[in-house]
Amino acid sequence: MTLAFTICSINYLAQARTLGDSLRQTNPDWQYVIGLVDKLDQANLPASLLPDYPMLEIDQIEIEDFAGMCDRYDITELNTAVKPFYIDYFFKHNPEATEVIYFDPDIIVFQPLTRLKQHLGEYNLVVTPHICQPINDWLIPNELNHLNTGTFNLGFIGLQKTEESNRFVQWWKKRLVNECRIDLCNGLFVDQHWVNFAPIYYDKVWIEKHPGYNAAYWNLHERHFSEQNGVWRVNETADLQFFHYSGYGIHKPKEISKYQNRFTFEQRPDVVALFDLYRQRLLDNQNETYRNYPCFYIKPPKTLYYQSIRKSLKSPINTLISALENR
Amino acid sequence: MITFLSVCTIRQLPQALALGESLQRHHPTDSFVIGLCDDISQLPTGFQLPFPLISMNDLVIPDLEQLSQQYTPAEFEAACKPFFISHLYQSQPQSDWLVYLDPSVYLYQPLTDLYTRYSDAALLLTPHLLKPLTDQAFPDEKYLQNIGLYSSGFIALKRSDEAARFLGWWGQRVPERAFARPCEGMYTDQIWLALTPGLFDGVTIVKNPGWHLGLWNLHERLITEETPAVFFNYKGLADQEGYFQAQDRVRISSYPSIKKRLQAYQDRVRHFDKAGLANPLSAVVPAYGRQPFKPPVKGWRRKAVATLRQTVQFIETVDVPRKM
Repeated sequence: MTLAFTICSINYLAQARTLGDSLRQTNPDWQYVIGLVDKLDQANLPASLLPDYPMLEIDQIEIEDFAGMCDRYDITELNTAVKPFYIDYFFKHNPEATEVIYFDPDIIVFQPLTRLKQHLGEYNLVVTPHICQPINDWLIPNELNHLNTGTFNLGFIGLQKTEESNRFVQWWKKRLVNECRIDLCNGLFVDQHWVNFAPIYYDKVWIEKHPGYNAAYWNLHERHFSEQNGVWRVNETADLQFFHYSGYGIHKPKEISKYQNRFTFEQRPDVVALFDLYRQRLLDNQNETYRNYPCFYIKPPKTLYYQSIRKSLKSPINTLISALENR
Repeated sequence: MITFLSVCTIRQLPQALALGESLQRHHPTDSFVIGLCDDISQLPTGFQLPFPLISMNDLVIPDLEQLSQQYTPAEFEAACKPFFISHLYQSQPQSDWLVYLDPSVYLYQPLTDLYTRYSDAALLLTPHLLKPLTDQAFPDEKYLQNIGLYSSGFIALKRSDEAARFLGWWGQRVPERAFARPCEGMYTDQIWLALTPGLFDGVTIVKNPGWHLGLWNLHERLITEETPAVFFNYKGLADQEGYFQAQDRVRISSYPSIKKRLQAYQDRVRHFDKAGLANPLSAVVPAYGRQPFKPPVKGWRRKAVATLRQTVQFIETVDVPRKM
């Protein structure tokens, strides 16, 4: 049995439901679980807002140092850091799940993922590179951005339950307890940058370059979309498997993604209908209501007092550091 | 046929000559070419190079002066490396493999896998590490993320459309962006290799532990009769080059058999350095790369700096409630 899951807080449940609806339509025999980084009994969702899909709250999956992680991480870091912990939980507690597939909540699946299922019979891991063709400009995101943040996009990963993939998950978990930060100068970008190591450390990692996989703003330069008889096609050669609406917000409907500046909808009329469709599904799934729920695990912003004392304490240490560094 | 290539400055020529000697022993019918990334007129008078040479004059490098001005010597060499490789790739259509090796490499076994195991590959890469690190020593995996997971001290290109496409891509990016600037996603010619498994077909990760041993991976490479050392990179061990000068994981004294190899290698390098010349080759200052190289902070200083930085971070972020 194949288990697909996503991770989000209540404010993103419209997305998670949209993904779940698309999976139910295209891959009806798969199980779908929403990993919830939030607390339902605190939120008191009315019955009308409870999704039709099982939800697994983060405090139920036995993360050893979860309190410490909440303390160390902001909401993006925390939501990405728990990914391998969920996978580990499914490996241990859902023995019937022979394949576990993670999707970011802002994805829609368009086809039965038979090719993926086939690869997961043969490989331990399936990952998708951000780019399969060079980017010949330096707009955002460019190749240097990908080098800084990870060559594979971790909005998707498929795992066959094997000893080797379990080794990968254990290694990844260990790293994300303390080092799921965004700190580019120190080689860190949430859970994603770490996965560069996967094809090196672990055997049978399939790097999926099919243009219908994980289509998103970062690979629009190499992918063009068209609809033929209700089926979305990529580059007129392949069926769109799943589209990742990363960085798109229905309150900024003129922007393809807040993380990119390469394309406008005017330049890419081919994707307009894909985004219109997404916007409508989010509205139908009550995005406007969900988005107002604050996440239980978000820390109130800290106000740091005594700045001048901090400054005078730091100053001699910084002098010492530069003396040591410059001999 | 295989064509081997190394790119070096005059100062590094003794190492390249030692490499050439090891290649002649293990690949007697293949060829070895040296790319001299330096001012050829600085070669000592009477010096005869026993291998074919590509000099800077053979290459068309736009803005050479500008590149020299903006880079350290190591960055400059990295920036020029793709020019040498492309030049040789185009001028040797008869060879089916082109293998770049750092001048600090020494071969102990022939690369027979090129014709068997890797015959379908387009581009071979050797990762710095093959296994996760389990200690707290330096360099850690984060550092490798910054400098690149695949070493550019070895690159093997099988003549193919994909290999040519890779060279075109790499050669367009590296010359202008060979800075060692991890905050901007740049690290010499090396970090770019991380994108190649996605961008090109036939990119193959070499997991044979005997390939490309070096200061950075001795701890995880058990060299036995079944997995003999195929080639070793003495970067940072026999010279002051490379990105691992501050490493504190590997002590060469714990590896007696490797220490012996290092000593034998150093003897060969010394031999080629003098080679009957009035002035040793290693004394020639590189002509290009005018930015000063700042050596990394090592040993106790490095540890002290790390602790002090943590203290600064604590002072910056500790939550002190305001007195009412």
